[in-house]
Amino acid sequence: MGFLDFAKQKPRLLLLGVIVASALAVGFTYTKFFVFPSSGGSLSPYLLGYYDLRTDDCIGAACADNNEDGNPGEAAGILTNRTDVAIDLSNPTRTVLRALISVFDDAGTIIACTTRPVESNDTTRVFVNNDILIPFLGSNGDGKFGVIKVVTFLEANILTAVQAGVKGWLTHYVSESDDGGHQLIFTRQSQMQQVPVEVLKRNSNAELGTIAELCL
Amino acid sequence: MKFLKLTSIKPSRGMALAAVAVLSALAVGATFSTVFNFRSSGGSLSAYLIGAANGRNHTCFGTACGPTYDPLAGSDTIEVVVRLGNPTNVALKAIIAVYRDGDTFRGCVQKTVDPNAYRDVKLVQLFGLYDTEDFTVKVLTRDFANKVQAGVKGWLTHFTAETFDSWSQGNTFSQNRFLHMHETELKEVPHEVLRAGEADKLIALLPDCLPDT
Repeated sequence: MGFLDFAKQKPRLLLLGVIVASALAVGFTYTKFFVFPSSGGSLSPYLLGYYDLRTDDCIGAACADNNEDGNPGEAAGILTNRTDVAIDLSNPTRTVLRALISVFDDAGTIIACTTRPVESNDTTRVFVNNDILIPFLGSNGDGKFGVIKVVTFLEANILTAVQAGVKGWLTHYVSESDDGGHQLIFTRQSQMQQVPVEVLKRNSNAELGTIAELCL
Repeated sequence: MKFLKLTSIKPSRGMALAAVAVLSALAVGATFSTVFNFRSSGGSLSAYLIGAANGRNHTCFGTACGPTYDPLAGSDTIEVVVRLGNPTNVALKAIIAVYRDGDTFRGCVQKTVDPNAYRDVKLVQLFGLYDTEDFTVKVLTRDFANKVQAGVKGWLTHFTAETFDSWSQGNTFSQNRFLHMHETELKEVPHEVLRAGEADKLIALLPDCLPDT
């Protein structure tokens, strides 16, 4: 059997040969930064969101006097009035769950709570202002903002069996009016974010107890 | 060498069992390979969050830029808001830094995020990031012993103003503006990236960071 005569090979083949030989000699290397285990999707019994029911006369650059006629009143002619925030919870599992939805103020104090069943393949919609703050506080939640926590339990064992199985979304409805008397509703949407169950366990039973006491 | 001759195979007890197993599987329903059956991660937390902020203004978009477009029907990014919530029972300090054009530092602010608390930062109001380009927002969280510590979730909201002309019944011309919004989550970046030098780089910004207000 004859050996490869490198001297007779064309330059391109030689280059390829050198690359392959080098790779085989050294071995393939992988950067540590991009080696992560696949999660294959995830579910958590602890979801985090936020609500913002504040009203603004103007926002950011719209507050500057940048109108053509230099009239700051017209330049700032965007009144945004947060009307409500919807929480949508969907259950892709075959287990009936119960969601405890608690609302905090911006400093981290729980101010209201409600509970909803989320059945298999069901989507439940709860409005922060209409369904939680107004019934709970007896007044409109205008001007309030903070985080929203959702903790899910087995419907059959509320408060004894924390169970993952719900995905969540947040929709902010904002009404806007201009100087011409027009008023429109605009929306923005994002996700309720999944927090590891270990955080829920470390937050102590006291917090879950407070949430449950308010919710049930 | 003998080859398998199917016609000469006699029914055996093992074959009968295999047939029953196959039929049972078909009757029961779907089966799942264990190869790609990963354990649920059950949510995630990272001390390093990232978002993409766009501060550009547009006179038109796509087909709206055609021959009949109204140059006044522009859209201006007027505010980008970073929102942070802390679902843990540990108070954290967040460094919120903004970069543009790759690695050019544009501004920084530090915020304390107490357990269950909510904080937000208006980037345009704070850093004047409008009429310009695209920005990268980075958030690093540390505990009060100054150790890097995960525990904050984040969102990014863009407010865009759109201007349109209107004529009142008295034939008076005026310009009106409305806001549109879009929102997404701040993305979680693996801890290993922080360990590879990014944490030191962000912490070194602290002398240039605006204080918490």
